Amino acid sequence: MSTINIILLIISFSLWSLFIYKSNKDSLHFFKFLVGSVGLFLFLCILRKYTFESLLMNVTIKLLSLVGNFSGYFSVSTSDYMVTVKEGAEKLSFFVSNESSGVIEIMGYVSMLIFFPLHKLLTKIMLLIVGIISFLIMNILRIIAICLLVKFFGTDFYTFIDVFFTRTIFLLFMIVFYYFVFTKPHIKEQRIGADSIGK
Amino acid sequence: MVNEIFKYLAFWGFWLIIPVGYEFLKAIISAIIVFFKYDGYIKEELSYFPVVTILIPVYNSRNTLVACLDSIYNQTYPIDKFEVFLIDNGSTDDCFSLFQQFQSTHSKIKMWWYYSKKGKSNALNKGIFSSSGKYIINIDSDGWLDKDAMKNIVRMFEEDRKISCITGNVLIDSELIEKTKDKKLKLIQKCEFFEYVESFLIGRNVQSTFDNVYTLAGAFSCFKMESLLKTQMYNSDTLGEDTHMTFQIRKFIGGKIKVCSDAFFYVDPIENFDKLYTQRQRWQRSEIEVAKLFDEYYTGNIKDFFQRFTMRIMISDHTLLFSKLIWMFATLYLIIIGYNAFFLIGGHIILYVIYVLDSFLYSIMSGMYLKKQKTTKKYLNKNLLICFLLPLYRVVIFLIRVAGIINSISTEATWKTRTLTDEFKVMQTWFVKK
Repeated sequence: MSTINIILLIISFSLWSLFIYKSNKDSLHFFKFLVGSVGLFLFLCILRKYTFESLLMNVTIKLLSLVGNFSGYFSVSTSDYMVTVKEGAEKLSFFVSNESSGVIEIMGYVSMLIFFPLHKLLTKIMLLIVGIISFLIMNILRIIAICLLVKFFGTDFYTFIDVFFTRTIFLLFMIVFYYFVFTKPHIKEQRIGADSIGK
Repeated sequence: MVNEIFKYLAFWGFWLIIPVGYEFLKAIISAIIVFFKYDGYIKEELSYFPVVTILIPVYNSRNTLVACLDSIYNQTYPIDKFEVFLIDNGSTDDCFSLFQQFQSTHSKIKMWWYYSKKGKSNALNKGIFSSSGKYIINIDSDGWLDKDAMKNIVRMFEEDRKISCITGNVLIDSELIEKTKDKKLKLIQKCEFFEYVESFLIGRNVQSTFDNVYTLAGAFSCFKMESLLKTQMYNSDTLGEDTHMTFQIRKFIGGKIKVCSDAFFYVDPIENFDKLYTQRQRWQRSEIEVAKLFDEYYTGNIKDFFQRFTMRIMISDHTLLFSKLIWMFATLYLIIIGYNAFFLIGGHIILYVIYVLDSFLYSIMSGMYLKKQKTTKKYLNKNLLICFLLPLYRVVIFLIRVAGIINSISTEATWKTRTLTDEFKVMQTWFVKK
């Protein structure tokens, strides 16, 4: 990262922090959530390749490699993040890129959860850890499912399996997870009437 | 090129495709249902006219009260078969004198004026205890009834004895939109008009077909008196007293909750953006408050997801907002990593077009139900191009709903949520010394 970019980043981060501080002080809850989570997401996007992205991709590829070696259904090249499925004469290879490593989902989840004004600090930390691990595992399971289904149905079905099938399952998982992290606790904790004004 | 755009949609736009695909599929299915459900309003005339009580909670309604009473007076239902209770819950204007004037010039109509504690629910409860009608119709004082509304409601009750309550169609008065001078506000009001048309004529009609009506419209809801008396009356703790009542009917009585597709009630368009901002937040809050009071409907069990439509609606209105928000973030991410702008824009145009088609389909199908509402239908057809604006309007509504979720956790329950202007004013103080 060039010096000018670092300076710009520091300035943006300072302004963002100031906004969060001010909006928190003046009870602008929605703007604190919106600017806070969008801002954090953008910072994570910028910093991801210097920090956690390679870690997440390495964990993903190494766990996939373990499963591949153990089952023999697919092979994994950990050096270039490539997964290969062979069935007879057919062969399909695809990269585990940042697009398919679950990084976006994890960054989005972390950004929203941190600024979601409901859970206590300890609960939030626990939900962050559980969430990151769950998204990571679900993504690994998604890639394993792609390999197995391609092996069964052939390489021609790769796009369909990847785009429509496994991602739909992933989305459903995400919705269920979000229901238990955001919706159900909100319903449980919602204050009503006199209770909401602390009487 | 098409392949490349598809590739973009396949990877990055996927999370958007699902909701859009879901909504497009929903639009098609809804259109088919609405098409086959439409019965052309050929119905038998009523031969028996039971007594109906109309309850109107009044709160500083001097500008709208007379139009509301006029619409009741002009009903095609026999005037000696209904009584009107106006329940003032803390007005500070001169609406009582307007009532007196109206009463003196319209002696045929039976009308009473009551006072109650502050709050719409208190007003309605007071009215219910004084009612003698077989059916109760609650309407807001800031709207007016179509002349056949009462007759059509009573007919629907009489045709199916299992119905406990009915909600009518609440639409925006198009003539009032035309009177708006501010062009930006007028556009918002037109979008709101289309939103109501779609929500009532398509959305709730489809819900009614499957006995899945989530909430009665607070502005126009109708009850069988014997059903209402089995409930615990309107709840004054929650902002969503109408939704709360719908849940009570569902839980304690189990009777049918229906939409009367040929009963119309017209309300004023939104006065300004601030009102829209606070109104939608209030709706969002009230949905969660009622969910808290009836939390057995929101267990999170897979079985309940399939058995209880209430849980599916909550997922759609709450949970999915977060996943949609993530993918708004994702677009920012794509810009940061320097994703091909052409495909990024192309992908979003495709999604936009799908949403526009959705709106056209809904609007055209809605027109079927407006055959007798000639002014409204004409206005709908004349302004069909608004469908191009509706996707943007929905994004704004989406953000307001997110605001509703966040503020319902952090702020106290009140009808006076801080407006957007108020919030911007607070931000201005950060830069200007007091």
